Amino acid sequence: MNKMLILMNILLTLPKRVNRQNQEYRFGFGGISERMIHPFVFYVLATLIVGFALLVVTVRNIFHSGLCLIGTFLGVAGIYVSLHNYFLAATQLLIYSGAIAVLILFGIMMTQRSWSLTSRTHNSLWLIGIPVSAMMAFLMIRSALTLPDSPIKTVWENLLQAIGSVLMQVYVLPFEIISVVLLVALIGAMALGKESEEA
Amino acid sequence: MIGVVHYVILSALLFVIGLYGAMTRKNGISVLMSVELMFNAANINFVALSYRFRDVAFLAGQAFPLFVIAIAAAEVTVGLAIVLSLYRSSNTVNLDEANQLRG
Repeated sequence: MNKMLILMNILLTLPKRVNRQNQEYRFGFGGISERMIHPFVFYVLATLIVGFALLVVTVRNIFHSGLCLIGTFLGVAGIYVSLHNYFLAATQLLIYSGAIAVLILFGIMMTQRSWSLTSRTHNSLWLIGIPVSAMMAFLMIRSALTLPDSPIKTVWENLLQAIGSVLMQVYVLPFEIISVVLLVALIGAMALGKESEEA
Repeated sequence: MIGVVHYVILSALLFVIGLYGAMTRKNGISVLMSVELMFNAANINFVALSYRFRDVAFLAGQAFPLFVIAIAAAEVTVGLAIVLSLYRSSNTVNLDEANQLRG
């Protein structure tokens, strides 16, 4: 009975406790310094990203398109560095341009045939695709221009520590669900990729 | 001065390019690559727009791309397994030829 009361007390006070700890982030982890990216670096990175992305969707040889995808991922990692999130940049390098790109390149190599270099790589949807994409870009850029432009200059000194605390306190349920999703994806990929006996 | 709006415009361009690729490419693996471009655009938006907030909202924007990256890894694994089994069963990776489920 006493234990149950203690348990209920813990459960009932948990949200309050989390809230109190959240307010400590403002002062709890290191100081805040100011640093800004040079415009030239940003424009070089943006040109790299958009150029490689255009190559990804237009190049006829799908293997070259997979290599251009790695270029886009590297550029996005640079963008994360310019946004002062170095851990995310390292994760992008390891998982995207490391694991996912290698996975996609292996998939391309296992499914490529000699005729796949000469056959058409795009369907006839480009007639709809170009106007729809252009209109989408117009709408998104126009709504982005209505945002108040706040500068990116505050750097959290211990951002990784703060992110870890947030993951483990506020977002601990999604964090655990992600691990289950990864396990299910692993088993599903093995079940799908296995050679079936009757085939 | 490079502000949040620059990053949002960059991510809009990246998203639109990915959308175009996902609509027009015939090869299933190309469609997966275009979807990856769109994931990256969303991640740039998360991190850039989080600079307009403070405290937990800021940290949520900084941490959420990690979830997106994990989901993207799972998605690519399952997607490639589906494309490989399609290749094995009907000897093609073109999505417009994959119509066995059409009634």
